[in-house]
Amino acid sequence: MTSVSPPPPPPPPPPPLPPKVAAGNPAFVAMGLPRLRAKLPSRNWTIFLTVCTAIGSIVAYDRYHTKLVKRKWINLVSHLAAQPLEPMALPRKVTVYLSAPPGDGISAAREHFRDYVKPILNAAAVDFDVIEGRKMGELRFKVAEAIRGERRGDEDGPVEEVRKRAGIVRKEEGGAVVVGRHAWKEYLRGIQEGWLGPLETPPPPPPAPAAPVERVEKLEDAVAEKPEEPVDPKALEEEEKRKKNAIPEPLLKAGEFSKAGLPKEMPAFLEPVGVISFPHILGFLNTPIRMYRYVNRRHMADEVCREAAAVALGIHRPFITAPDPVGTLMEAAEVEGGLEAGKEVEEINTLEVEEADWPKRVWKEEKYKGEWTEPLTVDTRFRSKLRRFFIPTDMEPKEKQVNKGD
Amino acid sequence: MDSLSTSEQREFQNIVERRQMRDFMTMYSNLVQRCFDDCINDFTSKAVSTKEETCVNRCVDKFLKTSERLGQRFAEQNQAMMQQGGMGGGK
Repeated sequence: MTSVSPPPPPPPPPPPLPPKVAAGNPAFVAMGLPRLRAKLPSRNWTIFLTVCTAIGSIVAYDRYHTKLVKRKWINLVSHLAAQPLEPMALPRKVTVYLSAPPGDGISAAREHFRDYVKPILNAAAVDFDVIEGRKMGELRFKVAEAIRGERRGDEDGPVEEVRKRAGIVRKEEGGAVVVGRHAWKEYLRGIQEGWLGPLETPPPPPPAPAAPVERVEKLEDAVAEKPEEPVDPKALEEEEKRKKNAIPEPLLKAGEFSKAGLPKEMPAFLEPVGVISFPHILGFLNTPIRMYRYVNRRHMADEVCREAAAVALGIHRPFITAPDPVGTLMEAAEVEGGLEAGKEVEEINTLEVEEADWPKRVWKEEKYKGEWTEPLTVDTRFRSKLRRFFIPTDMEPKEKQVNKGD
Repeated sequence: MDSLSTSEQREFQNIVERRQMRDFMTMYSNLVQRCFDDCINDFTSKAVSTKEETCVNRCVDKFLKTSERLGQRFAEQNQAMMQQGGMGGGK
């Protein structure tokens, strides 16, 4: 008899399969993108790439807009280059005054000029001559010397001679371009020294009279002469070298400008000038400021190129100066302050913010005492003679209309 | 020039004249070459069109003006070089 065993229990139903995991990244799947095998970067890589891209794009944005800004100003003046010029006529020429900024070399100034001013001048086909000063006072000397040469009636170089003979003359008025507040201070000193000062260097005063010699003789008994001799030849050599490289002393010091008389040949107006801002900062602790400026060059370029375009267009006006304090009703103290030749107001005292960038040692060290550290002074007679380039309102570049919706 | 006798002076004059003539002919042929190359491009027609005619006029004009200007600049630089050379040699 077959025992009827209960039928074996049906095999347990297979456990429910886990839901099918889709191949490929679930993030992509959720977005509906093709199921590539690619992985998104890990959290760390994401952070790294984000930071790099952020920095790179900030810089790229700024450089792109700097280029646009330069292009905007170039387009404003480029019509000047397309104007016809007779074969025997010469294009307009300006003089560029560059000076090494305090604490740095002349290359800084040269690069600033080359990157922001030169493209505008080239686009407008304005010729230029560069006069450089490496140390403080060198530019002032060159400016003053040039003016003195003009007053004396010095011979021009061979090129000018040939041109004069052929009757070729530059018809258009030139101008000056001064880059940076330090150069501006030196330039102003230079023109005042050149026009108000003597034409020739006065002969050196006779060597010190016998009086000091007597005193030395008395002191000789007390002081031993030993240290003098071994140091002598080297010290003399160094002195010689320093004397040869030294910039000649100004023929007329700033304090004496008001006393000197205007020469007969003084023109009614001096050459118009364009003062270009030159922000320049050094120092390890200034790194955050330098970083900010590094990514905000477009604003600086706008300012600089605007001035350069004004120079290229050639339209000039007198500097705006404060009204004469003597005429208006003012308090006694104010009147006194205003009457000091030292105070300079309004536009002539432009770019004062740059002085905050200069290294601190300029204000402390002995060798920087002079044109840079002294306040900017312009003789009252010169204030009305100075002219500056500007862009008339009807020639301002039009801003692109941004459609911000209704 | 004064150190040469009259016949020699005449010779010198002739040489200078011939040299100038040669330079002039060279300049002329350069001009023709340049303007022809740049202006006349279409040989489907024998006649010189108005466009080509204008182009040629302007080409000759500019060429001669440029040549005059270059000559002037060259004379200036030459003078400067001679002066410098004279000063350098004199030292």
